[in-house]
Amino acid sequence: MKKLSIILGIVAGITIAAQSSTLMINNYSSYDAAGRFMTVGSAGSGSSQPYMYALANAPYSRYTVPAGSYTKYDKFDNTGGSNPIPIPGWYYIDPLNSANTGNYPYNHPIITAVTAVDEWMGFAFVLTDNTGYSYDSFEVGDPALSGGFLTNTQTGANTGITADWYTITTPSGQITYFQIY
Amino acid sequence: MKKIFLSALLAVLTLASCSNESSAINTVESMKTPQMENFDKAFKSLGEPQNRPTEEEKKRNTSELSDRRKALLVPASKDLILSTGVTEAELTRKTGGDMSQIIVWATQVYIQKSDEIRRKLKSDQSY
Repeated sequence: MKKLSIILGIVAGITIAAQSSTLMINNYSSYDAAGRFMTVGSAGSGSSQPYMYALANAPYSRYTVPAGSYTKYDKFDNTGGSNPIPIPGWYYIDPLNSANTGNYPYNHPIITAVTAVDEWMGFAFVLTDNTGYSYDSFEVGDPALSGGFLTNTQTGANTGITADWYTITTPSGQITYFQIY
Repeated sequence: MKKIFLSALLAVLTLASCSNESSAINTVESMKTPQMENFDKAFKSLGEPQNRPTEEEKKRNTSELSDRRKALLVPASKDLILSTGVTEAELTRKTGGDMSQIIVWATQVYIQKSDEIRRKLKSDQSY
């Protein structure tokens, strides 16, 4: 058993080095967070690089992180059923060639191609309950990548709930965290 | 008549699968190790008023978590890594005591353990 744990530990260590960018999401609040979950080209918002919005996860009509839930994604083209909150596909926007713009399943080659180009950018969302009422709206994400459109942290005026978006960076890779308290 | 029966059956099946889902969510929580729970608590503590970003920290044009807030995540991260059988000496050797490397490593352990729990629940429920 101890040997197995050591092996698992080593594997975890290797995984850090192999992964470019993992995202971990926790919604500790009692509200659903629904809205536009965004990626952006590494050159930032407004560049000619493709960018994407997550398509709605079932049974919702928008991408939604349900109350009390956790999920992670390791790559844009691996957001499917192996994750606690699957993203079925992406709305892909190509500023250089609008013919490419449209919805694609997460494992489509065009999404794989963008994996080396894009970064997680942020989430513009509302806190809702299951009747669809919106309590507070947020625009949280990476301030530099979004050209100042998104902020690291925001607190809802009505709910007092805070959302944080931050990264932790090491020489061998980075993890992005999105947390709602 | 047959249609009504079929749609009723579908409704019952849908409800049944929904109730299964909620029990699965409960079980993920209950199957977490104490070190995973503490790791959750540490991240959640960043939302407490005294641990939120200061005005200075908010002004920085970067997403990198401040060292002050990283420090709050380190003890639970270390415990989670040690719980996999890694020794304290190994932990120090691999991370050089660097906070970011410790937290990122622990996050990978957390994600992996969560995946294992979900996989186990799925295989228990297969019918």
